[in-house]
Amino acid sequence: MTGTTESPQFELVLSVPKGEGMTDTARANRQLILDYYIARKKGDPDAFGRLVDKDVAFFQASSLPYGGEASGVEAAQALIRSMYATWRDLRVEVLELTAGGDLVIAYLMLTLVSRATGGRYHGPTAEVFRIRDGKVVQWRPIYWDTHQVRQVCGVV
Amino acid sequence: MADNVEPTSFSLVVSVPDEGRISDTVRADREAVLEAYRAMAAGDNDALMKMLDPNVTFHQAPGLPYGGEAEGVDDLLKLVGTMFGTWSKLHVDVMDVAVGTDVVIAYLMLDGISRATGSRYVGPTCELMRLRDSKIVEWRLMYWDTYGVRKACGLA
Repeated sequence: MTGTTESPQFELVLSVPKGEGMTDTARANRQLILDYYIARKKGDPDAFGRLVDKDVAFFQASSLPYGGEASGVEAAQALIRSMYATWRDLRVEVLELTAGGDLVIAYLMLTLVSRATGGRYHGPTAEVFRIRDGKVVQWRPIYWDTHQVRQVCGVV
Repeated sequence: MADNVEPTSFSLVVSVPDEGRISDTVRADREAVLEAYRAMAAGDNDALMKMLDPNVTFHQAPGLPYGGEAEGVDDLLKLVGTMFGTWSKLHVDVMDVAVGTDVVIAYLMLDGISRATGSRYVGPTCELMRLRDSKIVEWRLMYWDTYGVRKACGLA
């Protein structure tokens, strides 16, 4: 971020917790998410239930065809089901798992085919997990381009 | 990814590098990125730019008003300048910095006021930086809601 003639009023604040980073807890959290992805890959139907806290908060950007916020396991699963109902084909490649403090961010490549239009969406995604006592308490997928998702699904 | 109502075709691939490859180098990279953010917060707007590799690639989603890709520092600065030109006020809160094998992902809260409309956009953002020899070779911004940015800027 550099200065230009059209620079906005710019303010940068750091709220990063001191001393965090790849601590033993962060390492364990990273392994937790890796184990979850591996269990999902094997088709383990209980993987989600084991991973999340009963009060998990799940977020999808409001502009997505299945956008919204959910609190609790059942509401989160309902939101995920509406996501699944949108796509005919869904390919997820987990490229990287980063961790720091109580946060794990998975870097994914998503390839999706819309059930409604047959259109294809392809883009990186950051799946952000906040973890407390070995359970996911906050889950937030950050898509590369929600505008493009809408276009592919025929929403725009 | 929960159970039930799977898409017709679902595949999950886990390509995550081994955790043992999270080296002391990447830990140092995290510190270097944090130090650059601290310097920026203290008024040195070019602190992060000093970490760029000459052949850095920069990626912003095409759905953004300033979407596109840049290769090399000069092109990157132009694209960043276009981004800054879009907002009259921009507040960035760096909340967490996570590390993987060769990437650092900063988890930010971005709060911007559109120069064109005066409307506000607020959303979490992941700033992915891939480093080689302590230089940023890939820089990718993942916004919570590119459609939301378009709306704030009067494009939707």
